[in-house]
Amino acid sequence: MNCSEAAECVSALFDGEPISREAAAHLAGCEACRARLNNYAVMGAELRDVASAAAPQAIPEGHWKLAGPAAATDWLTKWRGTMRIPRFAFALMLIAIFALSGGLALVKARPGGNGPWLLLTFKVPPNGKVMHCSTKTDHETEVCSLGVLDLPGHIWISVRFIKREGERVQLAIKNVYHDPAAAQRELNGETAQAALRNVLTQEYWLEPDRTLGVQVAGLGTIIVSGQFREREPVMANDPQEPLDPEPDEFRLLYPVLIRDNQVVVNLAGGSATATGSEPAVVLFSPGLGRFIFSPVPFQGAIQAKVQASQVSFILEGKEYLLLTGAPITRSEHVWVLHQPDWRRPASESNASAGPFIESAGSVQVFLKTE
Amino acid sequence: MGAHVAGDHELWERIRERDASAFEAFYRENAARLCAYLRQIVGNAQAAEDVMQETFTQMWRSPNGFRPDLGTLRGYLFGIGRKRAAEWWRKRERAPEQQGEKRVEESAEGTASFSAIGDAFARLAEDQRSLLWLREVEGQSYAELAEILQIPVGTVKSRLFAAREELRHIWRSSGSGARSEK
Repeated sequence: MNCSEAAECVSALFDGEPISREAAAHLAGCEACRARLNNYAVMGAELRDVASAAAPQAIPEGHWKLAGPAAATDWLTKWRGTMRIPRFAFALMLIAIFALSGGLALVKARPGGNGPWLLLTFKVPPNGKVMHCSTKTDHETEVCSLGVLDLPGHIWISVRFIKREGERVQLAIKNVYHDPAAAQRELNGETAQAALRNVLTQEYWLEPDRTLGVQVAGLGTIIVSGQFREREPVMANDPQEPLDPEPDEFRLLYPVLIRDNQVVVNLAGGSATATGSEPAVVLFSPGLGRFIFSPVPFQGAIQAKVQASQVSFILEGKEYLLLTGAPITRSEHVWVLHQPDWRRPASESNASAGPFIESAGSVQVFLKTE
Repeated sequence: MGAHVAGDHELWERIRERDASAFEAFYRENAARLCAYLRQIVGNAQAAEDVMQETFTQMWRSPNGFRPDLGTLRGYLFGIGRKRAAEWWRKRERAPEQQGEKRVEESAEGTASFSAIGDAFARLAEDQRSLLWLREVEGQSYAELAEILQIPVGTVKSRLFAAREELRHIWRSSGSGARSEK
């Protein structure tokens, strides 16, 4: 083992984390690695000094005292106290209203389970096309989204996990359908985030052994079913997806981006697939900016080498290697554009602040929103 | 550790039951630390205090989402704070003309009070500052960092290494680190 291989272990060792025997043996006899460890210790101590100096001298009065409890709690308290009709009848009435207004339909039994991953299956009219996405059911912020671009017309769906009670799962679902004429105006496709920006969210309960129907204006009812899994489906968007990409498919599954031998983005749970004449996938990480990848040339992009599940390129004098969980494209080349200063538009301010991956049927969609 | 988790769990239950004295004690214990952390992310003291106040207000108004088995209550608080700070940045980006004016003030304010390491630290990317601060100053464990930042533990390890190396590089370039090593 040499110093560069052991370097990450120095950091782990400094944090009291276990390291391999080989790394420990190297560190014991290496002057340079001990100097690195010493640097870390000095930096840490000085940083804590900075922290002491930066801490506010006086603690301000807490504004939280001025805030009442959330409105929902008030409503609940009032409801409990002033109910004048039998609660059972009221509950039935609520269920009826929900079922009528939300287009909720319980159709047929589905298998259940206890794993933390929920594989959602969408059966989309008019031809019953089946799509999938998966979400984890132990984080409130988990979102999965998908688009179907060849219905005819386009539909965009996003699902946000809200909470889980046993095998019941509450989901917030957004959808929008663009008929063929509207889809034409969409510049060959759009991102899910942009298409769903102004769409209202509907909340549903997905019950065990049931499916639910989600009404889509202009299209009909999508039948949604769910299946718990112990692990994330290997192909989150389609468990039946073959290893070989389709001719017009461009996909980045679970990408890891390495710059000069250091991992700078690791989207272990993220993947995106695009199909179309100019398919593209973007990878964003705070502090690093946005990378746009496409198998077709586009303005400002450089040509990269693609081999099965790897893309390599040199940008600004740094060597990049993108590794993914499956072959990316049937094309022989991939084009890459790095936008280090790119930030989410203000209109998407409710989106997660962390790294993300997103796809579009046309690379122009991303260039347009720059 | 077990006692700590039990303490957090009890405190959390009291907060959920709208026990203002329990929340006041929690506020007193953590407000200054959270404010110092947020200052590293948002860059100036006034904004950090605003975000800190919003963070506590959100936690008091909607006390849900904390899971004692995944980390400490302080870690959960810092996780909310980090998200509020990210929202603050996004709102700022809507008004670029104000942003330009304020950045000058922030730089001056920051430089005046920072040492050489503080200077180097201020030049790191926001996510690296956030991560290093939580680890070095707040002493959050790898598991807690994974929960706060919503990333896998293995990523915490590699990102911490990358952040330390970047800080070390900047620090040594300034001359201070090189002297320390000798």
